[in-house]
Amino acid sequence: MNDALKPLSLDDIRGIAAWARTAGLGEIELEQPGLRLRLVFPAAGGLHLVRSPIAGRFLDRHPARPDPFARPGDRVGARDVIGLIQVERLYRPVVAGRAGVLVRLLVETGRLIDADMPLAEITTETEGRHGTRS
Amino acid sequence: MGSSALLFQAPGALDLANQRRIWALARQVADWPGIREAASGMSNLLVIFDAQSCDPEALQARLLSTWPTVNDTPEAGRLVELPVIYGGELGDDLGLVADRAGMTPRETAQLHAATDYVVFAPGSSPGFGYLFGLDPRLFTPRKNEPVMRKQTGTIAIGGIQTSIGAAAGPSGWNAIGCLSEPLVPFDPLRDPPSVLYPGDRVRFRIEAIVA
Amino acid sequence: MIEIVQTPPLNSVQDLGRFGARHYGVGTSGAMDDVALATGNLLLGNPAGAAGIEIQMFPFKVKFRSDVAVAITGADCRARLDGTLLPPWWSTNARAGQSLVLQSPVSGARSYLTIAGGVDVPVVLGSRSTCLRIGYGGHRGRALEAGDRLACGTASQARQPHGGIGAEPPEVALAAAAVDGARDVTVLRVVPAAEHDAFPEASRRAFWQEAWIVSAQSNRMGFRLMGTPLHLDQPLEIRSSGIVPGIVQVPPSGQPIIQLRDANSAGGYPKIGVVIDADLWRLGQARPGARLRFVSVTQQQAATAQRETATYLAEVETQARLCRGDALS
Repeated sequence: MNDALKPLSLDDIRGIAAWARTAGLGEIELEQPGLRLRLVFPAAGGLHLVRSPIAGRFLDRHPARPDPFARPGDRVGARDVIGLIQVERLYRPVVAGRAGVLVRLLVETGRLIDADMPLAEITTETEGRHGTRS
Repeated sequence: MGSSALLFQAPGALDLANQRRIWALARQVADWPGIREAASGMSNLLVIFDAQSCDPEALQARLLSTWPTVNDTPEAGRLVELPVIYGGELGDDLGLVADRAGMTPRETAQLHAATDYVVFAPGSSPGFGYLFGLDPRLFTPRKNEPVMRKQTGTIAIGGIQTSIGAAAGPSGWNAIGCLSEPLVPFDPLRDPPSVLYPGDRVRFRIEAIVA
Repeated sequence: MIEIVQTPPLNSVQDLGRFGARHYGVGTSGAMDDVALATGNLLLGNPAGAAGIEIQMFPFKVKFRSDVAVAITGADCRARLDGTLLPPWWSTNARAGQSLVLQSPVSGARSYLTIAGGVDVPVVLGSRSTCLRIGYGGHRGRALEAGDRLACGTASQARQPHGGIGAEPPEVALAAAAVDGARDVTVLRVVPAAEHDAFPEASRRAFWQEAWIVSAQSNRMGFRLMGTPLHLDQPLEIRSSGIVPGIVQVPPSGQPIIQLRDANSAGGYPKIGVVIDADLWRLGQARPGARLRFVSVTQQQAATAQRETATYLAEVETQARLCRGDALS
């Protein structure tokens, strides 16, 4: 796409921010030569719904690891993977999107899910969006 | 020989005529479809094929039907002379080989050096190779357990074969000596990379005998 | 460009091996877990056989000197990119200045770091693999050391979709291959070899029925196994021949040796069987102390297993290409 090579204008950024809020994103990062832009949106209602990025099979843990990515009550960082969506041989990550505490998963592991389906609830915090789970 | 290799073992004696036919067969096989490598051993040929495009049974049949048609073709090998110190720390099995042969270590070394050997096949490490021509009196079985060899250039006997060790490492062969001048057996950036190639003749010159 | 910040000995650059150089007595070398290396490459859009780094000693730490897409496959080494834990069998984008740390895996033996464009070291006799035993190929013919800088091929400017892509591990995708229900035993399919029938009944039974233990004397050259000694009724005089990775030789001590990637290219011990190519990666992930059991298969069954692996890799390749394409549109 040739458009992607034009430098972003302030209007572009406003548009992206509006779209990202409507989509329920906690954060969005854009990159093009000479520019890296990261927009972080403060939590609105304190409860963040993590939605499925694509349709596929939801997994709460990686088959090579015994433990789930996160259990209810665990603190998660905005960039943490809290589940996987398997499509055939590949996995895409389900990323928390906001730092906070995982309240619960909304689907069982192994279930087929649609794109944009709510997968997990996270109570967001006013700070600590860089938290990282170990 | 597993999922993607066949080992063709030529009937008959281990001799130069048979071996030259193996080399000729190797050259033919290398051009067959689906063949990745054809590596000559001591009167045998390891054929590595692509299991997706080559049927092992058909390949086996073709090898068996081709072998009787392969002629003994002379090889244009070089004569390479190599100085050797027999016995000593790097040839500490010389006494064992001598005892089995009922000879003194000196007689054993002289008998070993009296023959021009022919390089029959690449060795277990690159550079020198397996040599043919060992006097039957020097045949000595391999060891029960491999031992660590500290240095390249070890002259050793394993069963009815003799060789020059091209790498330090475990070996089940009986060490009877060592090259007196260190030689880098193999350097992929040198032309040619190996010191010896199949078809070359090797003459060992006795530099010393350490009993 | 990546820089090795920390590494114990014996980690090296490997591709899928060196073919066509046996005339020199040169063995194949190459990744001990070829499926892991290939999967990492295919996630990134590299050819399956691009060179990567085989990590068998930990901890291992690299720093990226430029933005580059990377994949970590094989044993789960709990890789962290600037502190963020990555899932196993994962590919992602790394930025210049970021560090990647790989820790000792809980299970499995070897992890592979692949890089978009491949690790660019000189091709020696048709391959970028390091032969640690003799000392050629790879990065200066030796294992990697702290301070080494490795260039990456420029062929691919591939970027992974945000968050990265993972591949279903072959132990899941190709699980049907392990036909044995026994726990903690790696089942390997073996085609009987030339001297198999020369072994007496008792030795053959022991070979096929016992769980063999991988001894501490096991490395890229080969694994020595411990169990009931296997003996011929009378010694055979065997003429040395070329050998292949996976061959199970029985020296007079009776304790079998499986020759692997950095093995001698020829040998003369009796050959009882050969582990099929499609199962060599399972050996590459077996550690000293692991238990192995052998099941007999025909060459036709071996070819079928090879096709299953090829299909798995082809699926990863196609789906990853679509996935990366989606990210661009």
